Amino acid sequence: MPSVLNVDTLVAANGTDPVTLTKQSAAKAWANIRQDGSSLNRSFNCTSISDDATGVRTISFVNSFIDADHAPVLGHRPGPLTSGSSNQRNSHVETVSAGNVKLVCSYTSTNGAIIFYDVNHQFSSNGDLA
Amino acid sequence: MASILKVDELRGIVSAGDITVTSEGGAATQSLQQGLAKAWVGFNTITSTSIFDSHNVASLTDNGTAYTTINFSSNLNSTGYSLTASAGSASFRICLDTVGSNTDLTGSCNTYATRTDNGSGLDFDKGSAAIHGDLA
Repeated sequence: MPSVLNVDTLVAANGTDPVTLTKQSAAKAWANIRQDGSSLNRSFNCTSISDDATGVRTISFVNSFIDADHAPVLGHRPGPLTSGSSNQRNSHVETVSAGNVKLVCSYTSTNGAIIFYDVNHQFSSNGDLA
Repeated sequence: MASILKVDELRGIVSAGDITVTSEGGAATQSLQQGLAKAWVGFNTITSTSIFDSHNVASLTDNGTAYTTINFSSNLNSTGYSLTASAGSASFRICLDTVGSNTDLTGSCNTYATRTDNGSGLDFDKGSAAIHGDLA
């Protein structure tokens, strides 16, 4: 029969440090962001989003990371399946700090101009919390 | 000497699916369950859609060039989860969109790969995806 431990909080034996199970390996924040950048559909450890401009938004964390060296990664859902030169979207993390990240999506138009573009960003970050 | 607790399963008392852990810096506490990836997969789509390794992924569906459905073993509890994905090719730079009828489902999600130089769809050598959210 498998053993089951019922417990509400896990800490290391010294009573304060994180247990090895969660240290480093669990994502510390994730979010699914509305395409228009106005709000978070679902999230974990994200307190707010600011819609900075078309295709540019900043997510702030509830609990900050220990520094800016955490590892944000992105996905995005741009809309219905399409292809062509106007749909070569590129999402990237523009700035990273302990308390927030700025996400950007853009594409290059046929005349070479960079066009910022709203997408349904999906984000997560691993690292150490403060 | 480090203390080691040997146990097969952890459950919360107040809520079976909610256990709090302390941050690395000790300044905060937050949920253990919500930080864990609920599914991940490494896969390719070149000759046939196949899985290198995975967690909570039952199968992949090849919907045609560039377009893949990831089917979960255990469903998410809503469609508002976070899907992050990337892909690589020996020949082209790739953007891996997380799309599919513009809607993800609780039991599956979709990826679509496009060349960054001309926007056309293509299959790829190595892709990876991770899903964070709440399980049903």
